[in-house]
Amino acid sequence: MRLPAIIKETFSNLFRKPATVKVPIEEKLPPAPGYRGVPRVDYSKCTGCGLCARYCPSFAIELITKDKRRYPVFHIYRCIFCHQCVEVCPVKAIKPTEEYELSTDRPSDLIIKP
Amino acid sequence: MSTIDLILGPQHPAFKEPERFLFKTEGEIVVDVEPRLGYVHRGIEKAFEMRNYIQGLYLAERICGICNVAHTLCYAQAAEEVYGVEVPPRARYLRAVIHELNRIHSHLLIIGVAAELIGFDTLFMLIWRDREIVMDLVEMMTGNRVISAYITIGGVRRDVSPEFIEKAKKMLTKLEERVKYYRKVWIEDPIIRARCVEVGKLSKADAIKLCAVGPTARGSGVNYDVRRHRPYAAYDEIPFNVVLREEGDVWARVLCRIDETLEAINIVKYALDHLPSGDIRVKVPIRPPPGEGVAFVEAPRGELLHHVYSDGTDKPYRWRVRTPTYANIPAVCHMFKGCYIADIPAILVSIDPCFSCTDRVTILDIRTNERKILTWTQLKKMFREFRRPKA
Repeated sequence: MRLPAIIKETFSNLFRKPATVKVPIEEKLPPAPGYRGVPRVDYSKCTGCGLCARYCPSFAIELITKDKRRYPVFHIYRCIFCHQCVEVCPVKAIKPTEEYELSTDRPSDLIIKP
Repeated sequence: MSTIDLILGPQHPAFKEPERFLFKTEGEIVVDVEPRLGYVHRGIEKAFEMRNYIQGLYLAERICGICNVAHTLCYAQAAEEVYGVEVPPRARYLRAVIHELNRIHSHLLIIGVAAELIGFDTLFMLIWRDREIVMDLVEMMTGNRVISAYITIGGVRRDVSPEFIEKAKKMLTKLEERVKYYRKVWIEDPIIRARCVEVGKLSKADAIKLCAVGPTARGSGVNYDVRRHRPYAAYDEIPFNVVLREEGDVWARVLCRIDETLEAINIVKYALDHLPSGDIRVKVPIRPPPGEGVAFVEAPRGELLHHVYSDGTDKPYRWRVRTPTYANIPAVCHMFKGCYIADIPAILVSIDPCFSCTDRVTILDIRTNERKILTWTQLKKMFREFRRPKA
């Protein structure tokens, strides 16, 4: 009787290192370049046009008025990291980052405001 | 002999997604089945009407996480028909590339799950390990592992670099080797053959009669593939084979998916080699002209349809989605009849079910076997009449 093809693979795996890594205790896997992380806002450049709030698919961007000007406030806990705001910003005030470790014990960390 | 009702679901370890099935059994044999769709109904079609076209793009992506590219592609094509824009050639090729990468990752997922459900955990682990190759590729190309957000109305959102093309071809060659090995395992292994061959038979005539789509139909020998018979993206310029199997059982349907994975790897390699230069997108305004658009796409699970009706505002008036699993439900109910209870998970997984896609509408009446088949003009007529005000 012939051995099934899987047997060879199974035994060769006995002498291999695990394919998984212990994240983040032993090793940190960096995301690929261009990974979509948290969007960050440069409020000095922002003109308050409100396009980002209009296009945000998850309604995570709220427009507030401060010192007679409009500013976007980013509620990151609603964000789906699609970077549509980065794409539509006419003055490139919203910068993409590759940050993805967002757990925090302070909810205020997840709100970006001026 | 009296029948016993066996209720499986909505939550059941053998089902990957929640759905309720009522099996009427005689001893170990299933004699009848009654599905109850709608457990994960999320009201997505209504939510489309609350969002503008760009926001809807990201909602379409979330109809189904696994075949997200198929949904965005179909959405974008339907919207482009309304907008009346032509996609640049480079974007059409890149769309084919991401669509096929998505198909590879969806097929490898379901082949692994199929192996797990028949009790072959080693194969499941190995396939999912090698699936990481294509996940990494998608991450490099789009910026996320699964939800790619790559396709937009009028083109694609990012370009690919020459380094990416080199790297992708190298990684895909490695993956191809692995998938060829899994194909050999699937064909030869005695355990798999004992569990899958001659289980859940669907003849070619039944597949046509019950309107099966995708690999479910192609596993029964129905030669229908949207990419071939209604080409979109760059599929009219890319050579590829439509994979067909004549057996029509669980084994053939999964083998059909393995062969399609190999075919998809070839398509990606060809498309990356013959990538035309030029723009990757055309900008569209926020308001489309009034009109309607419809698009068909061969999703990993089968034929997918998006139909949009625009009334000239920035939000669609009505959006309709018909997903492949929905079309395959009558076929899978037919397969269940006469099978053993232990074969239920294997049969269900062989159609690659995705109930989160399916549960948007419940108009199917299984008991009276009522299925409306609408022609293209009838469908258009229905939408026109729906639009007309009553008063």
